[in-house]
Amino acid sequence: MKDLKTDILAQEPKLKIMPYSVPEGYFETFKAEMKPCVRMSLTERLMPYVAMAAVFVFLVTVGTLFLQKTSPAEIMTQEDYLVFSGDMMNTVEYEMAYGSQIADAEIENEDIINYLIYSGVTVEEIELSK
Amino acid sequence: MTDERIIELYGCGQSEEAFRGITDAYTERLYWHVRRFLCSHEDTNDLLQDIFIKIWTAMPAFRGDSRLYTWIYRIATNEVLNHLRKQKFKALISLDSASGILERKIDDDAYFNGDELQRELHKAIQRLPEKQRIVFSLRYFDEMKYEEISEITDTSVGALKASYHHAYNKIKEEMLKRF
Repeated sequence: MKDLKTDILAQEPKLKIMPYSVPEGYFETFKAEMKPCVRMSLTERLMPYVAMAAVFVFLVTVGTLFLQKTSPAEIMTQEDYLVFSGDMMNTVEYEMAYGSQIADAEIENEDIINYLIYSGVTVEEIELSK
Repeated sequence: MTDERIIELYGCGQSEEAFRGITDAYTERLYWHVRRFLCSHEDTNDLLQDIFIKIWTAMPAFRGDSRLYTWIYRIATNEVLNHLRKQKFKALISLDSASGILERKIDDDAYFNGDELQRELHKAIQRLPEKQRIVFSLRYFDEMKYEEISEITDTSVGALKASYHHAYNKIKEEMLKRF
């Protein structure tokens, strides 16, 4: 494989040397900064997520119980709702009330990328489907 | 601190001390391993932090079936591959090529202090397919044995040899065209 007359990878020892450098004192700072995060135990770090999950379960349970107690006759149909909300609110007020929520709901490229990666889609598959 | 000592400390319940041993022993090695793929110092720094957090959270799952060294490199390599996949998607959205973005990062890198030959080598590496890039990097720069690379990448030695051969020849040809 290695023809020495033309094998530049074997002939040039400098190619094996990393041509990059790092800011002065970078590794020492990095090691020092990595240490404090270890001090927080796994339980402590997981606690906020456990709390969020508990709140979510609570809300789902309460929501389900509420829906079960509400009789079907009391649930407003989508058509009734549109008529009702049309009477209650004009377009300008609707924008004022929900405009910020619509803006917040915008999907970022990062979200799309994360979704594609975790759903197992590859770039090659997307390119093939073009 | 040796790998054996780190495992011993972890086994005795001194997990913080063990993790400190890992950061002391592996920060520089993993940094250069990651930097070869990501090119930019800032990206490498961010990913390196994620890698150490992954190592810390995965430590209870380390059973000693493989060596600590290959286990750590496997986590780092998987994180690098995930990052590169994200970059590929970003490039697809911005109608750019992932290798083009990385090549520009080499050109714009304030911390690149190699010559033209080294610059071309690192650009040529970015044009390789993912698997070949990993094998080439671990074999050519780190001079790892195929058996070790096999443990890290979960690929057979035969397939690794073929990948390295293809990668080596591709880079050699590209370099010969330029110089």
